[in-house]
Amino acid sequence: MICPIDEILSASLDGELEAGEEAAVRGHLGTCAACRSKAERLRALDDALRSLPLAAEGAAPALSGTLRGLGAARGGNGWWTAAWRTGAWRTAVRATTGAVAAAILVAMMVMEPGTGSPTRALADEAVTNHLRALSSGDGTGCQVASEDPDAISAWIADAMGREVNVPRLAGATLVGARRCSLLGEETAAIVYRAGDTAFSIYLPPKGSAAAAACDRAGRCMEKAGQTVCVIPDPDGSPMLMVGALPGQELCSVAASG
Amino acid sequence: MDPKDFTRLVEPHLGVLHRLARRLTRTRAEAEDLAQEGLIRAFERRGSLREEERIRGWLLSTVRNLHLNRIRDEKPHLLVLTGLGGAETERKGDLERELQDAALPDELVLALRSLPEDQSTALWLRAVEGLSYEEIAESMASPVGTVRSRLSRARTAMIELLEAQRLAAGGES
Repeated sequence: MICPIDEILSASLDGELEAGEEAAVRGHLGTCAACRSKAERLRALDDALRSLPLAAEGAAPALSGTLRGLGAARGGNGWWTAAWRTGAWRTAVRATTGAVAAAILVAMMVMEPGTGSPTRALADEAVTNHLRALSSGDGTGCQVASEDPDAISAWIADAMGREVNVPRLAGATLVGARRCSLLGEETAAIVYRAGDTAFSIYLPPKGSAAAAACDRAGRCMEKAGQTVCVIPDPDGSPMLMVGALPGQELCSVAASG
Repeated sequence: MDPKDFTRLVEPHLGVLHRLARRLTRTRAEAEDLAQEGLIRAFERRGSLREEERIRGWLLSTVRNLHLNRIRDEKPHLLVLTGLGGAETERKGDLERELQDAALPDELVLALRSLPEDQSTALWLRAVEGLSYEEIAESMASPVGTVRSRLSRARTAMIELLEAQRLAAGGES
């Protein structure tokens, strides 16, 4: 048998070939190292996709609540669907589904070389976002400006439907906050100033890909002149700091909270 | 269909519905909106479900169509991937091993997002959710043969992307 095309190998992986075709492919794989390697890569890719955090995510409680509400409907489509579409129910649901950020535990922060691939994409996105924000109108990219952590928390709760504890850092002044996206997840970015330098603290939602990536990250790394530090959290709500400060200095600011 | 029957049939599939919505949208809030609205739309149209055993594909099709209709009028969203050329030491080793070790989740997420929607959705539904080609075809309103070729193209593109990233990372050090 000549080497099968990729589509045949892909369908074989999925068990979607006819029996005769499948037998021919299996026979070929027994003798062709190149195709066997290709097939193993396809399998490894699928396994890796299944290991993504999103693959293990269950439905949001609000969705189960919606389904229960629909099940309770009597005849027609009723008040329930109309209530959803007014937006009032959506707001109520969002207000109760935010995770409360846990207290910040700042581990001993040391400069370490980056740990490579697992965090590169996250660090790239965070640094790119931070630099883009610094180059915007007011130099911080903030959508809300306040030195009051409670006011910032309230804005995030209103704008994003999440409850977060905005860190109070003795070594820095709170400037404001903005909404952004990290690894495809809506994330709150809190902006501070230490001296003349603005830095961002990203608060990825608990259970998000970005939060999971923080868990795997080296604690400090440098990229494009910016220091990226992870502040771990045993409850799964880590923070990511980005700023043009030396690593030890950024870490000591984090530790001042 | 009685509302209680609808609930009973749909409940086992809320997870896959939620994850598809999360895959299709950019934020958790958007995903919740999409999943909720999709669920309600499915409820309103439950009379069109002819075979109960096909409810998963029917449900996913409803959510995906809703999403496609929504984005039709939106401005295109550009996912900007900027190479920053960091000086950190990158992981070495072969791609297959890194995939097996699940050492590339961030790259996987971004690579998956860089695929055309029809390819990434097909790959997600097959690899992660375990849908058959027939179910995927129903979810995406496409012939089974199209699903098969989409899956192959998606896998090849993903592996090429990840391989290129790995080589680029190795080249930086």
